[in-house]
Amino acid sequence: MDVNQYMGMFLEESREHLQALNSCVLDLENDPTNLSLLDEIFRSAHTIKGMSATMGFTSVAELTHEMENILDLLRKEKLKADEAILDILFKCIDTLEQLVEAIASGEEAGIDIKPLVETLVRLATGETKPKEAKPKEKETPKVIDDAKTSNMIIDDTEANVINVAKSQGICAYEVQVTLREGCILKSARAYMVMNVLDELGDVIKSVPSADDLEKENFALSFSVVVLSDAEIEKIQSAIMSISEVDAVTVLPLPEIEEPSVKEQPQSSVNEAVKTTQVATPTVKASPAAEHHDKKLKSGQSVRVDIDKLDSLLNLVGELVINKTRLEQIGLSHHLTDLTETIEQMDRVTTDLQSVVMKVRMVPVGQVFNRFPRMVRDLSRDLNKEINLIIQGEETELDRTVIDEIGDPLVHLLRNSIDHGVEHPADRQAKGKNPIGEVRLIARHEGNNVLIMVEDDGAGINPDIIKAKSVEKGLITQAEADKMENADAVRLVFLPGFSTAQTVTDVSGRGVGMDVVKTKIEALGGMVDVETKVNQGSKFKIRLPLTLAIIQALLVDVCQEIYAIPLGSIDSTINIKPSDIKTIQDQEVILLRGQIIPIVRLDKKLGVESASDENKDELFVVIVHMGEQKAGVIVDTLIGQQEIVIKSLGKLLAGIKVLAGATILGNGQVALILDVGTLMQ
Amino acid sequence: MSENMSENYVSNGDTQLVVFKLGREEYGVSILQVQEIKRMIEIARVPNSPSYIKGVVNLRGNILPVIDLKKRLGLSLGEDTDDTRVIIVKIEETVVGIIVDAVSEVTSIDSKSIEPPQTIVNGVNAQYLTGVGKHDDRLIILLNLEAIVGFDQEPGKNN
Repeated sequence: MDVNQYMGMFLEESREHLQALNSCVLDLENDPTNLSLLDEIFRSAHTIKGMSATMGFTSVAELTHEMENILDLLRKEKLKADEAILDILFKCIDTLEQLVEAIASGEEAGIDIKPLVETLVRLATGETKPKEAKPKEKETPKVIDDAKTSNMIIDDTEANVINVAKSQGICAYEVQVTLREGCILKSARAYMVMNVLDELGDVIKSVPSADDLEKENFALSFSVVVLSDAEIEKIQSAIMSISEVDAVTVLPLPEIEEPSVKEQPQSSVNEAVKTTQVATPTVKASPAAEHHDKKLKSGQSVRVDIDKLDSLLNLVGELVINKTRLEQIGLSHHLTDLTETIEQMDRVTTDLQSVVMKVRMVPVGQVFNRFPRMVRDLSRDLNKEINLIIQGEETELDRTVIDEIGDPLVHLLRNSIDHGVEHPADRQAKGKNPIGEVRLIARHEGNNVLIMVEDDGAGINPDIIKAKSVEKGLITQAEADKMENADAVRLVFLPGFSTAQTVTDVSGRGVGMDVVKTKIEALGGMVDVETKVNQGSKFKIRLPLTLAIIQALLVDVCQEIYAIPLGSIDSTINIKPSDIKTIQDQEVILLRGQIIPIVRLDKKLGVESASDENKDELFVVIVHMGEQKAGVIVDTLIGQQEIVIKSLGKLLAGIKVLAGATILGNGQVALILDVGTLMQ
Repeated sequence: MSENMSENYVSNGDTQLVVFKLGREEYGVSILQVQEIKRMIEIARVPNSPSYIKGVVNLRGNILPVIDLKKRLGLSLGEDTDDTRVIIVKIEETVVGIIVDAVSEVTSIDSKSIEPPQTIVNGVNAQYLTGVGKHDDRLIILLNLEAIVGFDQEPGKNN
């Protein structure tokens, strides 16, 4: 099989499941007795195992297999989910992550899983040893062979199920099926048998496991334990009706006396290992139930290449244009039927357009969900107790932004935990809760998404920051004296402020804050900090929803339509031509006591609007770039609209004043103004 | 680049051309470079762009520049008519439109009948031409689209 075409899918899904594992194990740490969590962990591990085995990544499969053994013991409550076990599980997950990433980069070797596997085996055996004292409860290792005799091994849980069923008048049968020699599609036949049995009752176990049956890991016969109220004959004939089935034996299972005595005295280590191995497949024996749960859990989603979405967006745009043309035709022909239909179509296309736009958005939780684990590890390393609170993980951002935002957030969180939150003793001394609190909050704010990293730690002392900056030569002493506290704190974003030294000296921030700032700004966002000494700090990141779709104000200049990104617009005002004054030949207006230079858009764009004298009022769009502001005079304001940014192409690259182009709903092209160069 | 061009024009001795008119002269470009021919479409002017760039258009969701070919070649300008067409061509992965007065036909001419351009043909600088083809009694001027699109020049400096 050529597995390469499935590689992408394998990697994506593995990462997803590893993520799920991480968060479930974390939850388990807080709630060690939660069995449904264990089930979930088990499912994820099992999926990874199955996928990696299929793809031929044996080390991943081996490790997950051993993990499953432990998980199974946990689930059966033969093992307690204590700290040691959880640590091992985390270690497994980390190693699996490494393995998967190694596969992604094209090299599978290099990571030794042996020690970990040995630890797992030891754990499994170590914990099962005490059970030797009462071997009666033990399930006997099952050797996969032709089922000529009733050698079905029933473990405690299954025995329980069977007994409950019996008490309700439902019989348990062991069905032994032998396929005809030379049967080609053994797994398909086995599947059909399972199907028939599923219809007649509940399959609770199969030997070999459902998985092995699927992979044709069996000779010619297999056995199934089924709970059914049908008669033996009925089951037998139902199965015999499947072609290529040679023989069927249906044996009613006797009441399982607890404990069923079927132990095989063996060396303890061996036994324990085998036990877990048998225990594992039994869980898989009910594929239907497992499948069902998964469906509920993982939601219904499809992976789509982003390029396809882009072309979908383009096509929808085309549709809108054609719709507009139809509208015009409808108008000129005065056909009521046609106009009605077009109105319908109008609504549908508008919806379609907005849906397609939204399809590109993904919840920010995709980034957030890896942080609990990080915070846990970090706080343990640092001997701090930290409660991470995540809010608003459903807030949506464009995929392009999501991919980039992870690293800056890691940075901020690490800073908060490392330097913000104090040690428990210090906190108590300050009269705070010894458990520190770090909040990661995302929410929409206008056209932006606001992400905040907040801690209730020591805060940043502006005086220390000032002193440090002067010492480093970033500012002069005179500047420092004049500086407001809020501005002083922002010095942490200066490149060159941060070194390992300052981290400890300044009791805080500064680890690569300039990197965070650069990254955020590259994404078209902003980062700011608020802090109070001994009360904590709050880092605010403001990000555009997407890099591809922005809100813009459409304006008209000499019958040409231009778009100004809403992010750089402060306000729009109407002024009288007489409001414009000149200072040193520069036209300015006075707005709320602030002098704002005027930019005449028509001149910048090489056209000439009607002169001011003929107008009673002028429309001015107040734009800003950083701290700078300017008033852009336009002919009319058309309205606010969501636009898709498109490049002007190689031929027109580098034209000043323009940031790109977009296509309006009617198919017309509107150019997007670059506020930065406009103001120069 | 010129080697490229001759490849474009010469295949199996015969060259397939899209023949169009600018004023009264006939011009040709290799059919391999032509993607489609459209009626005049609405063009958005691009400020501060080279003067021969008429603007940009929306072609099925893609924005592409449109070159006023007569302006580029320094020919006398005229009004758009019903015959005016935009030929969408692809040059080195870049798609652009060129405005022509009329598209007459697709024809093939023998590559042997193509002569290298003199320095000036009809007042057009030879750097924009690859040759002149004789077809029956007609003369078809073959264009060097790479030079016309002007990848060798700084955009925005040709005002």
